[in-house]
Amino acid sequence: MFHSPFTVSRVVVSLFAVLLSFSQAWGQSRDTLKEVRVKGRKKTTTSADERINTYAPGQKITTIDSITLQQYQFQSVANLLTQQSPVFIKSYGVNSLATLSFRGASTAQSQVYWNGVPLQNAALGMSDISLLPVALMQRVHIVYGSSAAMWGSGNVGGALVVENDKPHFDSIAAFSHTAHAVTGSFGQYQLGLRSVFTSNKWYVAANLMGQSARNNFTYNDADTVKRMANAQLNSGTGMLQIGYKANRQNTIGLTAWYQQYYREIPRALFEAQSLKNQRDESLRLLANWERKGKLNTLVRVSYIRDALHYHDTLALLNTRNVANQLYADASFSYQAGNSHKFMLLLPVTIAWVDSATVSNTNSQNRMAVAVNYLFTGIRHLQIAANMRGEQVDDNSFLLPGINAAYALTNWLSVKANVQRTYRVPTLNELYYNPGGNPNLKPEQGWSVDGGYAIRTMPRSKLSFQHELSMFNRVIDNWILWFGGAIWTPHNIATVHSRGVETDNKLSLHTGKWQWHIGATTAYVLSTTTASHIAGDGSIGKQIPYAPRYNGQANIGFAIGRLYANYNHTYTGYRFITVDESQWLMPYSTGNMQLLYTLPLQSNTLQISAQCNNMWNRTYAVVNARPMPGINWLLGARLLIN
Amino acid sequence: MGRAYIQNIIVVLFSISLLSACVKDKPTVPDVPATQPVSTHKLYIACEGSLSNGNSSLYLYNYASQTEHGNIYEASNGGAKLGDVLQSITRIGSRLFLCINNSDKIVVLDTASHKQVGTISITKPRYILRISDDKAYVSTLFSNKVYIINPQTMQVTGSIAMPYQNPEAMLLRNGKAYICQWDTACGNVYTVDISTDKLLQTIPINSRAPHGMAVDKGNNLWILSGNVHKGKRAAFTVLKPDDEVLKTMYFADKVDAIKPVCNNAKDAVYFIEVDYSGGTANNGVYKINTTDNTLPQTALIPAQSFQYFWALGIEPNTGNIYIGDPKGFIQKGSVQVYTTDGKQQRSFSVGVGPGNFYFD
Repeated sequence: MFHSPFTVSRVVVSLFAVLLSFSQAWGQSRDTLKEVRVKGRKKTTTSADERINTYAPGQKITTIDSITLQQYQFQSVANLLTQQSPVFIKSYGVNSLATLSFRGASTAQSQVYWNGVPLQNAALGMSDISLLPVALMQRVHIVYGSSAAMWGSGNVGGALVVENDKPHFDSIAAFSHTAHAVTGSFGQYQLGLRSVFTSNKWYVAANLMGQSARNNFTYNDADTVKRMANAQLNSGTGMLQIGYKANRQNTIGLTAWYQQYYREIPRALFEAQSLKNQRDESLRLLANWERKGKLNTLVRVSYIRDALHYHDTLALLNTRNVANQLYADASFSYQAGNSHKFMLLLPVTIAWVDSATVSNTNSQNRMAVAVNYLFTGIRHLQIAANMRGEQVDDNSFLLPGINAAYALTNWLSVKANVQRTYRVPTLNELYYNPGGNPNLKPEQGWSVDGGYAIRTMPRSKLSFQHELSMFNRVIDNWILWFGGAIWTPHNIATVHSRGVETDNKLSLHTGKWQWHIGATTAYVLSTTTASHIAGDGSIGKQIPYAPRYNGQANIGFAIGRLYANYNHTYTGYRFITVDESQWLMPYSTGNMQLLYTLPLQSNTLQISAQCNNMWNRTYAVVNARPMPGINWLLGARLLIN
Repeated sequence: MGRAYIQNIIVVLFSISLLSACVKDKPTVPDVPATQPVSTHKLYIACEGSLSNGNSSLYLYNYASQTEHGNIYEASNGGAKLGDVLQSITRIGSRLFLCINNSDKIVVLDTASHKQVGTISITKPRYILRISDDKAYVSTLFSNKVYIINPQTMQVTGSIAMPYQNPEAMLLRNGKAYICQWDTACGNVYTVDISTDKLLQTIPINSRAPHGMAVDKGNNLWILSGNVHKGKRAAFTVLKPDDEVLKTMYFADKVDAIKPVCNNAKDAVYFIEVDYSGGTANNGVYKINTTDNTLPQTALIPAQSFQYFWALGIEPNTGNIYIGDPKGFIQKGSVQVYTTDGKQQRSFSVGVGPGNFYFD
């Protein structure tokens, strides 16, 4: 157990350092379905959300490029981020929860937004991103660091922002269809259909997806090879987007997203057997009205209902919890001259739970007034100031923030971001019966981050990109569940998180070949600095499930219609206990992606193949939950115009 | 020197600076020395671990030499993991029987070597009552069954269907097995004929959800009951040797009392009051003399804020009080040793969630 992982980590870190030394740009690249062509970087409006586009110049924001989205189009967002971002994904294994942990923050401090609407389960305060299919999303952004002044409670470590295409309109009415079929190891099957209709007034996009998997992979249990049982997955997903362009200024949109996952939960290594299963049913409705003009107006109203039916015959558990969230906001954007932009955001959230364990008389009401301001009056400098006043039930909070970016040269820029940050307790933390603690205070503190970006020779055959970010955050009243027969959350600790992230890319064009190599690294210290527990052994120790070292590397090429990429991930030690007395060994995985695009007259066929964990490593992200060994996914996607 | 060359130098320098500032990743936490031969004055400490983490452990303490030996199951069995939630330890003959509650098994160890000699598959085992060298009862969680095992063959030989769920504490008195059922619908204690393994008596008590028992020097049975989180108030019911109720003492509303144990003279009963709210009221180890008719209002050994106790035992020789502090089940716990008048003698670190002591 105690072999020398530090040596391993040094080798991996050294490898990343070598990559850093030669790094160059690949991301932000653009391609089309018809041809795997990687064009030069171009500063574009990457998000439909102005909070990302305009008012966060000093924040580190990564947008997953479309070629990478295509590589992972048949997988979950959890798999995508595990392999392509330094965000730690805490995966409880096949068919189980996968949650985010940004920069040493807890799961509830790492938020997920869908088209600007918070997706967290209103009771749990977290999102299971293993239930987010990449195929359903057109854009995925990772917002690092706190921006609570813009996004509100819970935005402590960072945020995942997933988006659908905004409705677009064309003077010529047209249909397009995309169908995909996938098969893979362990009885994986997936079918999907997407149809889009556009006209000068209407936009309609319909998505249907279904998948099943037996997940009966083999794994090692105390030197015995066993086959995973009770691991069936069945899911169905549908999304309908309707956009109506009333006139040149006004657009109305309606999106309905329904999905249901039935998941059998396999045994953990310490269990003799498992008869657990879980049915997750989500309904997400979003209506929006957008008015373009001198004063841009966007009004959104959404309703999200997450039902979780959990059944465990052995523990006599048969629970059904329904979390509801009604979210609405109105934003008004105004540009004054060339140097000043303003945005007023008025969000309201009402959350309640229907559950035997949380009384539905307990709800949480939040309303806020947020003002964002961008100043671009000094050449090469962008400064954004944000201020949010938020009322959560009977408590009010003032959240200031400021961030800025300055281009020192045409190849070197610097960024900085300072934010007041906080997270209000969830409904479960407050009212769960037994154990909820209605006297909980919000977790709160300050977050500072900054860094630089080097981008060289974007139009030459050889180009580099290197971005380094450092962060520092102290959170007081950190909530920990504490107990024996009954678990109760308390404001127990103060946690200091700090670290360094790098993002490094290199690309080389030689004739018909386009080569790329890159690496992302994260070094995170997140340690407890104070605690109320008598004789607490956690002081100065890394918090559980926050790896200090984490990194990904990619190397590959594109030639003609073929795109190939090899991805390697490394995750360092994860502690199970707050005193570092128990831990999990580091692991690394190798993954391969191939894409081949074949024109068929006016249509396009895209064949993709993925091999995950190709070195067949035995590993677990979370204690005693074995992950699959080598596995394949083969898919075909047909685009009919 | 070209601009690109300067840029590359900057990149490399920053990369190197990153490497020099990092904390070593490999953990360096020293554990208690692994197993050593201990023949007498043995205290086994069942460290439950934290539920669903599979990190239970067995610790051994020599209370004569005051030396502890950590994680002796892993050390004696090639690093094998014990399982999830080590609930209790019982010696039968030359074997130790460990109930691994959430791993649905009983692990059987040789007492001398601590090597595993077998396992018995039982769903959610809690406690074992030795009836004889070749018969024992096993109580279980989430079922109405008490299983019968043969400790020699390590086989399940039968079961006893109980009227309610969650058979919990068991003991022998007057040649009968007394069984509590920690079910909020249950207001009785049951006896079982140990020769026929049939239910013998239903003994009503004046409270619900009995879960702990101890026998005093007058052969009176002290029964602790209640489930305050499900609205069932805690109470001590004392049964005379003829099973008539001698007295019932109710705890204040919301007071959670667990794990009663007699002192060596059997003229007092110690128990734990638990408060998970972080407060100190009704939180600690309490003592009641067997002749008392009212419950103690102050703790003999009070818990501090954000502390509660989870294991309680009495050393056979000195009567010293051993207390397990799980520190929230989120880190290694500790065992604290107190004299009979409540003065702390020593404290030592153990595994996650010390929940039960077994003096061997």
